[in-house]
Amino acid sequence: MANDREVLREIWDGKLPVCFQLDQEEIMEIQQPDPFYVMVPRLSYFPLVIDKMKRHFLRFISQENADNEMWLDYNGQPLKWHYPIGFLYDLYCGSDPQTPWILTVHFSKFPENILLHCPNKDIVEAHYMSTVKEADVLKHRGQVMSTMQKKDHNQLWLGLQNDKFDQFWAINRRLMESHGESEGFKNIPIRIYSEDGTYIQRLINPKNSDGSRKVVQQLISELYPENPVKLRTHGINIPLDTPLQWLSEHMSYPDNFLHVCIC
Amino acid sequence: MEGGEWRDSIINQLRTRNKRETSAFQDIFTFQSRLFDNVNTLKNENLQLTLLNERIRYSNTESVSSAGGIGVANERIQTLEQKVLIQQEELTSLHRRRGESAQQIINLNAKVHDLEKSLQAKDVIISENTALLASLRAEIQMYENNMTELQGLNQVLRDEHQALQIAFAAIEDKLRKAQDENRSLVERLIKYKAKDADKMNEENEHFLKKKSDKVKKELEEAAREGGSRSSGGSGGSADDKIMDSMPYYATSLPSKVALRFDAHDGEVNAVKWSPTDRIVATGGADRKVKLWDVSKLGTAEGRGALVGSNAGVMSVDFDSTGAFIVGASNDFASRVWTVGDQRLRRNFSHHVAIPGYQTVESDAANSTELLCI
Repeated sequence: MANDREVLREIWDGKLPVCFQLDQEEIMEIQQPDPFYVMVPRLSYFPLVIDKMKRHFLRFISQENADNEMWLDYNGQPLKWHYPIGFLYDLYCGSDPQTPWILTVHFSKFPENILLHCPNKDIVEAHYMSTVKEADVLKHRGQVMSTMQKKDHNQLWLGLQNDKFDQFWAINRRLMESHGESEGFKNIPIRIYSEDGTYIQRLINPKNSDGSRKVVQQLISELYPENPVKLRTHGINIPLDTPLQWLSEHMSYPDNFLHVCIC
Repeated sequence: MEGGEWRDSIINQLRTRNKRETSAFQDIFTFQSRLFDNVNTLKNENLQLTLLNERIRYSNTESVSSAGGIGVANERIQTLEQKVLIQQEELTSLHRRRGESAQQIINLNAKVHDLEKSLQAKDVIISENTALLASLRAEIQMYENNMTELQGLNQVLRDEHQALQIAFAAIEDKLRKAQDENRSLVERLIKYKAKDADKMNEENEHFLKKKSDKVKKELEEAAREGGSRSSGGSGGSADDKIMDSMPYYATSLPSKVALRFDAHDGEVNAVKWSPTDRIVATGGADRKVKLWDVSKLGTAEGRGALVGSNAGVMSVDFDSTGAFIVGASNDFASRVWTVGDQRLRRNFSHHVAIPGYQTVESDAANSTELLCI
């Protein structure tokens, strides 16, 4: 049960200062556009928070690119919009924190082979819901999501989109409950990312074969027996004796996955 | 709630993270965004003001260009000249207006003329219409008169009709009375006729009685004569004398049947030879009289059936010429047929006297006797 409200609230309230700058090649005006500063929630997605920024920069680009899809990069690395913002920051700036986070805005030369297209917010919602379903299949064999109604799905999504903690958790807590006689999930939905952006996703049981709770240390020694690594998520290093069940319940992203970076 | 060092570590790390990343920038960023919005609105405002300023300046340059005086006198002359110019313009405009007015007057006069003409035409039309109206009124008067006359006539006719109807009713009444009278008269006539018939029957009966009485008397007389003769004592010899005086007739009994035929659907009551032809008439219980031709030996050819009797025929007879045949029936009636065309000629019922009866009787005296039986 995800009942440590203090932790949940701290994670939910995490916001990143971001500075958007228009790519120099895109500027078609004599006057240089001001950079756009904004605080974005770590748990949100980029397509949900950049409307105002887009309006601001549209004035400075050539008209023929105005209808093109906008995309972002950090240090020449295109940012995938379908990952949570906080995770992207941990992935690319985790080892070298930069505040504010300076991102470059592009309207042309869309990197087709790296990024997915995102014509509107419905696509984000569809991707988000499908990820939640995948996580639920891992945790409860999909039973919780399939018993939910359409309006519950909507509430989950709107809670995230509008940054409403209570609205979101009223539904999400049902996804974090354990089912059956055994305490805990069937498997822990976790993705462990390397620095180059690739990730591994394994079936990881929250318990050891002798029935005791599995902790982070055991997971690391299972996956990386030769080369012990440190794991980082939500901008913090995970203590090695943290139980995996608790970690999944409290520190999953809204898509119900633990996105963890190696550092 | 679970706890442990790891949890404290996590919560501490999260707090430091939030302090570092969020709290440090929150205020600055909200302030910055406010400033950003302000700058945008101010920029817009500035742009609008610049536009306004430009417009004002443009209008100013126009007004300024006309300004600037060379000299006061010059200016006055100019103003005066301008005034003169204006006056002259006014004058010309007035002239023009006068011309226009004159033209207008002419136009108006023409219009008045036209209107007068049309007025006259209308007057004429009105007078015509009044004349027409008067004539129509007169006509109406005439028709009204006509109508009253006709109504009077109608009244008279109606009265007459009524009178005639009354008369008709009276006549009808009379007719009914006359009819009643007629009916009663007819009844009386019938009564008288019946009386007449009764009387005639009576007379007839009387006559017959008389006749039969006469016959009876004669018979009695004859009997008395016979009686006296026998009583005379010479009875046997007298009889022998008579026998001797009479011619001799050989008699023989028929011994063989020459012809046999089925004549009727029942009893055969009567049979008679025709006095002239070789024809036999038979009368039977089947209410028919039949004629048979026996001229050919061994056969009897039916010559016809005489119908008309309502009960079995008891007796038949020919008249002396063989032209008529009479049949007596059990229905209290006798009938006479002609042999030639086999049609019913007479029907005697209850011995009612009918003219012509005598002739038939005289022709067939034998049959009358049969009738009497």
